[in-house]
Amino acid sequence: MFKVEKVNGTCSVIKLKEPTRITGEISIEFREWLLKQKFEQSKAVIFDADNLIFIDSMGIASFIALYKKLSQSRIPIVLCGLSPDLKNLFMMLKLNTLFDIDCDSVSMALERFGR
Amino acid sequence: MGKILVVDDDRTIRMLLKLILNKVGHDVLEAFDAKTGLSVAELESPDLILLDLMLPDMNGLELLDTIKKNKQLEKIPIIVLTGSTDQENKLIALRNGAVDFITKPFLHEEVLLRVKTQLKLHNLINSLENAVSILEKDLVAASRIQKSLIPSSPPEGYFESIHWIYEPSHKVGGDIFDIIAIDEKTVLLYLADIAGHGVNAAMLSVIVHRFIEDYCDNHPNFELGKFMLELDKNFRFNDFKLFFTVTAALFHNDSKTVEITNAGHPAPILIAEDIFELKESAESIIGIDMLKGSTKSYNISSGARFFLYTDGVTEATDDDGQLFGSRRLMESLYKYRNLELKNQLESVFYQLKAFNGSKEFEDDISIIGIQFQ
Repeated sequence: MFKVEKVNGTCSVIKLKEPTRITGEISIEFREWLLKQKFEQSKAVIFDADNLIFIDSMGIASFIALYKKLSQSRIPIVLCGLSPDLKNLFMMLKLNTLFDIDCDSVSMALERFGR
Repeated sequence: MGKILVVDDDRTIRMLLKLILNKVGHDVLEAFDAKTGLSVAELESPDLILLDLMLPDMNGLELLDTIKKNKQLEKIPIIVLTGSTDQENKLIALRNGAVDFITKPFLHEEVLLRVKTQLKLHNLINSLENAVSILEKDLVAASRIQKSLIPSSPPEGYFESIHWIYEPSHKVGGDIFDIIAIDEKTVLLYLADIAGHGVNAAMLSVIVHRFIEDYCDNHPNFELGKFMLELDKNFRFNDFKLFFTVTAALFHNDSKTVEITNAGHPAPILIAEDIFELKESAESIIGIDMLKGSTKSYNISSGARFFLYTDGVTEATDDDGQLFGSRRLMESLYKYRNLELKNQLESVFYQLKAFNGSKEFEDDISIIGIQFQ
């Protein structure tokens, strides 16, 4: 359901294999999966939201948990390609201060954070 | 070991199966036709049935169907006994609820392995069903505790009227609210939404509720901003692995103002002459050290209505996956503004349910409405 790719040897890009609602049980699974990944050597963790239909509060908590895990090493977390509704949700929670949500695509995120 | 019923009109097959199964410790019951098979099954409740499809009084498939429609017997696994050329009936049997088939002539080892596997599966399913039933009972108990925390009668004299819709999803949810009198002229209303649902979220909601109650009791000079900073300090994401959003509103009846603070929650809505979202005091969620404790005061006019809600309302979806959204909520509240508060909220909820369709709400639904004196 989720996969991670190393791009340019520097950034980790998380992708959803198919259109997904990260809610309920899937949120719990996502959190476990996300926190198992080794991102410590990455310049940035980029989440490609292209296939993300919706994410609930537990799903968002997964990103906060990852932020807490990576905060010592100051690795930015980029959520790119969020739909307008999801962007509004992250902004309402003021999580745009923890995560970068302004990139429209993975290539834009790589351009900005991958160098 | 299990109790196994063999339904077969061929005495030799019955004897052979009995021999094979007895050898490893199973108890074997026998029936030579469908009628006897059904009455033995009803009387003895076997753990598994081996059913021949060619019976003298009834087709084995019909007996299979009768057993699967019988509430008392439907869960008993049935393995059908068929001839090697009987491909179509094998498929029909599997489609109609048989768990496996054994083709005649059979090897002893094959019979034992298939029976063993199905008994093991059946026992596992039974254990799972028991575990789920225990968990469901726990959820019902947790739900009862959580619902008992919701005010049954709000403090009187502060508002013209107050009403709410509170529908936790999955029996227990993460929404919690309370109305607490601070002094004769001041009353606090808060609505919190703990991330997730189920027992984890419900437990944290109970802790948050208790914390706020205690905080208000011990702070006669209650200050909204400081209260929010205390919440942020005491409910750290690192400790609870969950976060929550909360809006709190402090109503001052003497100055006719409401002071609002908002940690990551949907903005409150005010309907006076027009309808507004009160967005100015919005900050980030509780528990990640980003709160400043800012508040914003608004004047309130007599007859104006004030609403708090959780995102379960705006994130409800129709069959096409479209969100109900805050605009639709505001339009609905405004449309029914001339009804009594209770009827206004119920009309909005009715519209929300119609939008959501026949499916269950994915998140808790809470909407609280207040009409000022």
